[in-house]
Amino acid sequence: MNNELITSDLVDLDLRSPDKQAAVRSLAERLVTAGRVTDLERFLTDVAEREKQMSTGMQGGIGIPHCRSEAVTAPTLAFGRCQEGVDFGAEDGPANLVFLIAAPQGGDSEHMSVLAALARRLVRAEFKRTLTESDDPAAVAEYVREEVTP
Amino acid sequence: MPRRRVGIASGVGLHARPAALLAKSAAAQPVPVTIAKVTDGAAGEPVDAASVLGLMGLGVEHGDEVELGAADSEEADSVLDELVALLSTDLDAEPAS
Repeated sequence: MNNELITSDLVDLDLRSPDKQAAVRSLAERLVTAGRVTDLERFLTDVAEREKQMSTGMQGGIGIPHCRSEAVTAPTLAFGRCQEGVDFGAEDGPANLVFLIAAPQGGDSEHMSVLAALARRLVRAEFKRTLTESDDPAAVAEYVREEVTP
Repeated sequence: MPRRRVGIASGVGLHARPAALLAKSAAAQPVPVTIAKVTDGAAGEPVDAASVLGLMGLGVEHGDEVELGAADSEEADSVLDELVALLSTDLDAEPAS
C-alpha cells in the first residue's frame, strides 16, 4: 500500500457539498477507497465527536476537520476545494479549502505534527494561492507532500 | 515589548478547546498579543495569539513553555497576567462557558 501522506486520488478540486457533514463524508469515502479508512461510519462518528469540542473552521476560508480513529490505518490527508464554500463554523465565513486529517488511534504525536505543519503553511498566502489556482490533483498532492513535512 | 513565559497546563497542549479559548481571550485584549514556542530556552518565531491557526501551527504540547508578548502599553502587564493565568489552567478540565 502507498503510504504517502496525500495522493492525487485524495484530492478533490471540485468538491460540491451542501454542508460540512456531506463534505467530510465525501472526502472520507476517498480515504476508504484508498484503503486508509476501514470503517466509514465509525470514522465519521469520530470526526463528528472531535468537531463537537471545537469547530474546525479557521479564519480565511479554511476547514480542517480531523481526528484519531481506530478506523484509520495510516496518517493521511484528504483535500477538497469547494468554490461555493462549506460552513465549518468560522466566524468570518465558509471554507473553500477543506483538509480532512485522519490519524490512527495511538498515533498521537504524528497526528499533531501533521496538523501543526499544515497550520503553519495555511497562514501563508502563497500556499493558499497555489491550492486555489491549481487544476491538477497530482500536482496539488505533490505540492502538499513537499510543503507539509512535520 | 513586555514578555512573559509560562508552561502549558492543558493536557492536550495548545490545541482544540484550549487553543480556541486562548485565541478568544487574546482577541478581546486592548493590545495585540503574540505567542512563541520556547525550545531549549530560546523563543521561536512569534505568531498572533488571536489566530487559532497560528496557535495550532506552534505545535505546543502539554508541559511545553511558551513566551507571550504584548505591545508596549499601560495595559501590557495586566494583559500578560491574565493570559498567563489562563495558560496555567487545565482548560480541558474547565466546564464550558
